[in-house]
Amino acid sequence: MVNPILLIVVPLATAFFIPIFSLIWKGGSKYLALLAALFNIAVASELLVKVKNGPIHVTIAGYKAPIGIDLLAGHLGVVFALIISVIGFLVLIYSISYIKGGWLDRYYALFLLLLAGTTGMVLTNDIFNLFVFFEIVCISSYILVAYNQDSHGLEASIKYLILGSIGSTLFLIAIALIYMKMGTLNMADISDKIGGIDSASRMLIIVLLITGLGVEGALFPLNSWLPDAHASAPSTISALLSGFVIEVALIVLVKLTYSVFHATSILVFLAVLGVTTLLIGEFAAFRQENIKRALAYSSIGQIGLILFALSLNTEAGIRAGMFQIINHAASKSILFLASGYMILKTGSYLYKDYRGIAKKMPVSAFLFAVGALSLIGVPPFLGFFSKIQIIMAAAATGSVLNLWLIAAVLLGTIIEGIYFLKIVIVMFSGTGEELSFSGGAPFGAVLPIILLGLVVIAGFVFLPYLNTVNTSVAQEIVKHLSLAQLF
Amino acid sequence: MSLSMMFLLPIAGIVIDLIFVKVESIKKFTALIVTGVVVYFNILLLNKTGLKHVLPFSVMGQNLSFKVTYLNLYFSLMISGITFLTVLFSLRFIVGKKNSSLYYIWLLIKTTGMFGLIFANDFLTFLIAWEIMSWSTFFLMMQGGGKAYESAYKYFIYAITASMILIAGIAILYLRIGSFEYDVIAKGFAGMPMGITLLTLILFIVSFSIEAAVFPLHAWVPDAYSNPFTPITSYLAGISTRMGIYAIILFLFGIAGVSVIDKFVIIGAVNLRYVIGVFAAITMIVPTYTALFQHDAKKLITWHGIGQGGYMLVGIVSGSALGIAGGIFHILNYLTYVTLILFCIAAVEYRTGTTNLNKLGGLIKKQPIAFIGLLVGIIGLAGIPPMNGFVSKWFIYRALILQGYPFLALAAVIGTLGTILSVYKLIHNIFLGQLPERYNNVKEVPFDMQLPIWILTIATLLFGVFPGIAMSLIAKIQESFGLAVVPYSLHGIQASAGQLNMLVVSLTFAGGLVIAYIVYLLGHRRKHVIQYDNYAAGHFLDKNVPYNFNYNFYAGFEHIMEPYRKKIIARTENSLVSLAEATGDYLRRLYTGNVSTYAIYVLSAFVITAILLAKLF
Repeated sequence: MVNPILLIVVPLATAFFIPIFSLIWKGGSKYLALLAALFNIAVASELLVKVKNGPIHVTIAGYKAPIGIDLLAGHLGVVFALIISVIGFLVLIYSISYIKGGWLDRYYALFLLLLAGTTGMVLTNDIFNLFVFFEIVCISSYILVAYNQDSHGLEASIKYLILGSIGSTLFLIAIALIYMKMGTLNMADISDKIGGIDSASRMLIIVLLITGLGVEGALFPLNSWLPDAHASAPSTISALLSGFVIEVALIVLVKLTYSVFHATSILVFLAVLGVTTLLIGEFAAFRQENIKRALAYSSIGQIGLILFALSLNTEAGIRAGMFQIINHAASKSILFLASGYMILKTGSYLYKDYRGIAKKMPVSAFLFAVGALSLIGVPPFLGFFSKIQIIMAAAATGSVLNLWLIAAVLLGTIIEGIYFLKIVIVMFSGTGEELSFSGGAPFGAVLPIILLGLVVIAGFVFLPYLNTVNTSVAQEIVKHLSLAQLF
Repeated sequence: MSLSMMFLLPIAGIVIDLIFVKVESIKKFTALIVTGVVVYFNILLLNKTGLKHVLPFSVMGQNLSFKVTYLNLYFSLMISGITFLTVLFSLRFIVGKKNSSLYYIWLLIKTTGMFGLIFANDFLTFLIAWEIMSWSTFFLMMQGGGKAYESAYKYFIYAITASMILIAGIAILYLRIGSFEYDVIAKGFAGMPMGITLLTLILFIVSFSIEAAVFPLHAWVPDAYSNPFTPITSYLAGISTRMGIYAIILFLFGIAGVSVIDKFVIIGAVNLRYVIGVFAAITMIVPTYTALFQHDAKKLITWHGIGQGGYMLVGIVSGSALGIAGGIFHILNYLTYVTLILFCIAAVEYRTGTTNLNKLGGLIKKQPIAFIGLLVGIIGLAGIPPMNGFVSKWFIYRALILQGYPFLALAAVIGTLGTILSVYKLIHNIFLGQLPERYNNVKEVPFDMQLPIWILTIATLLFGVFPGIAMSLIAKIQESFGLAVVPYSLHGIQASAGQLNMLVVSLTFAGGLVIAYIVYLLGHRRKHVIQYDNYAAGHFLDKNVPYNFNYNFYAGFEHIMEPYRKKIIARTENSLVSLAEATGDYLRRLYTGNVSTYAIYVLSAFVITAILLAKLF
């Protein structure tokens, strides 16, 4: 029996062990990090099989909830743990050749902390633990954003720090309120007792949670830190932050709303908020000339789309949202990783300087196009199936408001198509003679992009399987969490 | 089996071409063999209507499904035939061209997408195929580089807008009827409330009209089609645009049904069909006359391609059996002669390196095969007997007059007049007049490039003299939609609406030609002079002075018309782009970069969320 706690403990322990280990073998930290991520992939995939028989519930230190702390590895947690470890592993491979300067041990230790923190956030069944993992994620990402130690990175990191702290504070106040009103921090226990408290406090808790988690979850207008942070971080870190960190914050928020606080009446607000975020993100990206900022704004747009899907209050909606999370994790990682070496080689963040880069870096440019097309939602790439499912799920709810929101999503998609294709055309046009560098990205950096590209290109083959998994996740989110079911 | 082969073969071809992407010869012969065998399997499908194929692959509970009907057989035969000829023609043409390494791959992907679109039996498959077709078209248009990038980008913006409108339409149908299947939707369509039916109709028709290049949604076509290599131009103009017409036919007759559409009456006889007809009429006139101003042979023909789409559409919405038959028939006729014309232009381009009408001239003796091909093609395009364009246009004129749409019929005639004017410019500036000295050594194209020209020349004549060959399939299409059928024979139609015997018409024409030739023989003998032994407008001509028509044909007409060309569409496009850019700039400024603003955002978000949620709880 594999214990889901290993998913958190192993990267966490490795992270702490890395500085000591590097005293023995300088430069060995990257291999240690790779091993930890690989281990997590193995554990998560084994759990994915096991979890079919029901969620795996682990109590820590022998005390039962609500006194003790417990983990609940359901479909949601395991699927996310798998996404996190796979993306983390591939980005680590990329990092080996990409991250050359700086204090490498710190990079890999923080990288693993980020993995451990996000995994913890989706697995924990305790709202205070959630906060602790949330802080681990925030703090490690503050530092990683500034890893390049240039002025942009530091400035972005400080902005991120300030806003993140406000968010954490609001989150902490919400936790205090929960404990004050209910005397428990176990999610299943809260879920059982939430009916007993007055609606004003319930509402206040939810408002605090939305604004608190919304900062990390990049909801408009709480996401103002994101364009700076994602654009200034090293491309590997941008891939992580866009690929799954914001999604984890969002899915936790949605999980709390559905299965813990049973606040389905506020979902319509979240749906409108999601579409607003989508439109603002896409329009803001429309005129961006800095490729990483454009990608960061596109992440805002995608997060809006995901939130819209998750807030439809139907199983189909959440399933489609999960699809989009998987697609976005793969596609956006491709985009950030592919652009990483383009920035490094040309020395420019402006995509107009990449004219003809497809001649020099054909694989990167081709996969950039694939990632972009998948995000736009073009068949046969994975993104088409997630986007069409979101739209049809929204249509199937039958609400008139949702029809307007669909129209807005479609408008956002047009805008998205326009700016992504502009970048793709620049990359594919021209002869590439004006580019002075020689040689493309090293194989170690291209390999993870190719693997992610395969997921996006051939993902539709596994559509039935993804469908079953995502359906289980959706059922789990919609279901009320209850202590009685766990013990 | 045959149906799966229609998809598996091109996909296999794509994979082989991708593997051997560096080996030109394997790429092109794979494409040739694949497209050739596809034609064979397509012919095998002819007696298998009703055959269904459901893929074990489901999205949202809908398995991707395909079905063979008469309508999609008609279209798939056109696609497979023309793809084969295009590949055959490209074998030599594309060799050594810049930015052409993926040419056959995009061509095959696009063909697969079109087959998917044609054979789809539900809107999900339709949508997937539609979008695959759109983006492969985009990449196909980028082949050749240079200006092609910009025009392909413009196409993409239009195409993605069309796709999104289509998705909106499908979403509404899914919301109301809960299915993607054509049959289920067709049953449920009549039961929807009037407002929603109208909205759905508008969404679908606007979306398809973008692909079909109906005025005023045609502005992307001329550049996007004329900038890539000429075989691509012919492929796009010939068959790609017609996918929009296919979708309109399918939607009007197969899904919605004419009776539902006719419920929307504006005033008296002015109903929704008539409104579409008016747009079709404008499409017949405006682009056709714009073609007069073009100095590039490819661009001239692409403008006509838009105009000819108007004839098809006006026939389809005319509502009578004759008109619908004419509209559907015109698609085939248009395909044969426009591909023929563009292949001839490409043959000239292959030898001379240009399609600029101001630089060519006098090539008749150098490239006689291309000349004959072009002559037959433009006779078809202008709708003059005995070529096939005449037959379908005759159906359409006749149907419009009999249905009581005199204005639409007048528009069709005006459009034809413009066509005749501009195709004369085309053939004159390429083949007649003076031969520039630099083309003294031009030769006819090799046989494998002549072959497609010969085949299409014969087809253009064949469908003109024996329209019954195509009418047998068209009658079955009309029957399958429950529409009335035009009684036809091998060489014409025999309906109460009027009688047309193309054999008699053709023989009359041939007789006229014979008489003219006899008169010519009886007359004085010609004296052959060299081309500079001549004068025009008071000037002796020499190699530096082309006679006045060879340069800027219709300059006078252009001069008169120029002030009236307001370029409204281009300005609308620009203002939409500026609007989007301004919105983008404005929203981007929300992210001020100032962290105290951001903190205020968070706090105000908290307050606003609290206020809004208080209402929801």
